[in-house]
Amino acid sequence: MTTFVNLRKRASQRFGDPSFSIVADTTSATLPSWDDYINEAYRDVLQASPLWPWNEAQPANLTFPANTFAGVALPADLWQVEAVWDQTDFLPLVPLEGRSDYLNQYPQQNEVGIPQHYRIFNSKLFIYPAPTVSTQVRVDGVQRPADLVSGTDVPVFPVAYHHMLVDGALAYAYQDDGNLDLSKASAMRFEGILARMRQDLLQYRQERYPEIVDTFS
Amino acid sequence: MAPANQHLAWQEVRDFSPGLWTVSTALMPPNAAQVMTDCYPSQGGGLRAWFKPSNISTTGIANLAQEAVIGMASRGGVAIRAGGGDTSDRYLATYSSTDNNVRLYRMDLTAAATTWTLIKLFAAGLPAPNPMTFVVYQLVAGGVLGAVHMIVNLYQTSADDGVWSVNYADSAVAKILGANGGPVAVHQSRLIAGRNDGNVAFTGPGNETFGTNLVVVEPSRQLSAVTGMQSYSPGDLLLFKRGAPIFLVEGDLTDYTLRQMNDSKNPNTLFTPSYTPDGLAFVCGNDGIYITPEGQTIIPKSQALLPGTWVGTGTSFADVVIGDVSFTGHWMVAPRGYVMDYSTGAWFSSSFLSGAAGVDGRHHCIDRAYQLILAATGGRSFSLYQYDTSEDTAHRAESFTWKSAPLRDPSGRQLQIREVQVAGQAFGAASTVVVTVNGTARNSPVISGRFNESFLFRESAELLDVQVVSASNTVGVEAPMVEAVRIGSRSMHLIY
Repeated sequence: MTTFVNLRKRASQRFGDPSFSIVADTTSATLPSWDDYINEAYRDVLQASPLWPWNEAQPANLTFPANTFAGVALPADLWQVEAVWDQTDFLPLVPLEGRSDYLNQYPQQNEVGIPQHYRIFNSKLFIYPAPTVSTQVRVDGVQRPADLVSGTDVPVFPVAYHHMLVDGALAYAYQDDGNLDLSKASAMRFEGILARMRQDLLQYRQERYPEIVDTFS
Repeated sequence: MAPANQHLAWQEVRDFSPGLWTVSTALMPPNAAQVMTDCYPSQGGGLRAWFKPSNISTTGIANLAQEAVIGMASRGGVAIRAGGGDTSDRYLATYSSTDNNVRLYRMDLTAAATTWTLIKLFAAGLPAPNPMTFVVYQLVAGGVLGAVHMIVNLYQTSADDGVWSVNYADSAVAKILGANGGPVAVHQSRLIAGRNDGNVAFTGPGNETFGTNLVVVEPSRQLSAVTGMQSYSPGDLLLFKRGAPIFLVEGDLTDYTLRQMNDSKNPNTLFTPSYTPDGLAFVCGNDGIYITPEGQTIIPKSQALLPGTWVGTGTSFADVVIGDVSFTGHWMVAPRGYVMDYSTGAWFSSSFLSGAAGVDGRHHCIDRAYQLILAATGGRSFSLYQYDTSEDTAHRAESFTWKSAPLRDPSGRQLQIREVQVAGQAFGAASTVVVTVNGTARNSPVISGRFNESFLFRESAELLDVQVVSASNTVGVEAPMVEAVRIGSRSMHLIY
């Protein structure tokens, strides 16, 4: 298991600056720091695919009061909604596609009944028609893991690929230092390991055709 | 372990010979130094520790807190009175701001003295006296060498103004010339004394009787007072005056030809001209150090240093005079702790003699027998030092400091210094090197033998410099020799 502090230490060793003279260990007022570089590489990995298994968010249960047309705020770190389920009525909710579809189908914006559709707007979830009773709605989505903060924090992805964060951090550090040759070399290693992880972890998910869910019935 | 640094632009400083450069603060040769303290550039490259002095006792000085040095002399190679070897006979003149007296002290090492003995308390006088000059004079009678006397002058508004003779044998002090006790020298076996009226009095050969002997040297010119004299090859006498031209007195003093020489640089206080390989050295008060081979050609030697360096602006009376230039080995010692390595022409400073601006380290002398430099710190409460200039490692400074010229990026952008490498050789097992850039200091580990240390930085500014402090951290061990300083840098932002 590779902790955050070990990743920083390894980066400083490979940079040839074990005393942190050129790049500070942690955030500094005067120097760039390995904790920033490691986290920047970490974000690059997390953002490389929305399909990373660790990005799948734990279900968030939202409560919609009866006869209320206002939206309910989504969790702040939920940046992509994949499925919405009415747990009160045991029904899947279908997204309202298109910019004006919610007005086409619910022109009064005060229709009530059993919810059938949902819409995301301004980081809020709206359901249509508005429920007549208080309704629990489960939301599944993609959630971005938090930055590494504590020295004992461990990246969320498998340990076999942790060292790519060092290469990614080195790419940033060398670039800031004006050493473009080594920056490119480090970036290539980072990209190579990232591609390998993408293949290893996501390939099986693409081995078959995606399921077609019958939503017409 | 060092970071990959092939993307840096490297500048290697091996030739430190431009030396200390103070005449401008920003524009100077790229390998000049803003600070070069207790080290000098080796010929062919590198920096080496200069000499660390040993203390000379000040015990016996009547009132150290009120007295300031106005002159000193050391006559070496004198047989020890008790027999067995030889040593030095030393003299020190001070002026006291309390009683306005000049005091003449002696530390006769040939009699095993270790402290100063007051041998003459001169009459009080104001204002403060001119510097005191010294010359050794051996009497000759009937072709037979006689007593050795140390001749000194007192040039002051005082009842004791004049030339005085100190008998080596018994410290007896006698006045041998009345008023106008200008600088003294020995020339053509005669004792000579410069006078306030611009002329030169002289004795008979081998005796101390001045009589009416006089070399008349254009006394009618303005600022004619004689400030320095030196016997000069091939048997002539070179005269420096307060504000008048240099004169050359050719031929026998009793039948001389007077030649007027250069009038552009005038040493305006009493001093003893020092011989250098290129001629006589002197300080032109508010200007610089000069050397003249014959009085006509005047060679500037301190153009790297701010002319104001030499101005006497101190507040501690009696040391506001310009000071001395001394030469031994290949060292030319100037006032205020500045020293020139004559081999490379580089100036540097000795930290032991530096102090408050204007009053520091203006009086020193050479013990010619032992190639010693004797020096006093300036002002009252002075210290006395002795530098042994033997070119060995035992007498060298235990630490020294070099600070590069200001460095810029040639592109006009900010400069970022990323790495400094120092290559050299340590003489002691506890040695260290500290490199400072933009206020950030990096210490080497303890080094021994030959070393090549890397110091990593990330310092950016439009103007940066690199300071290297080399230290042995052991008493009596020479500071590590620096062979090269390499500076790795790169361009940064155009503006902040």
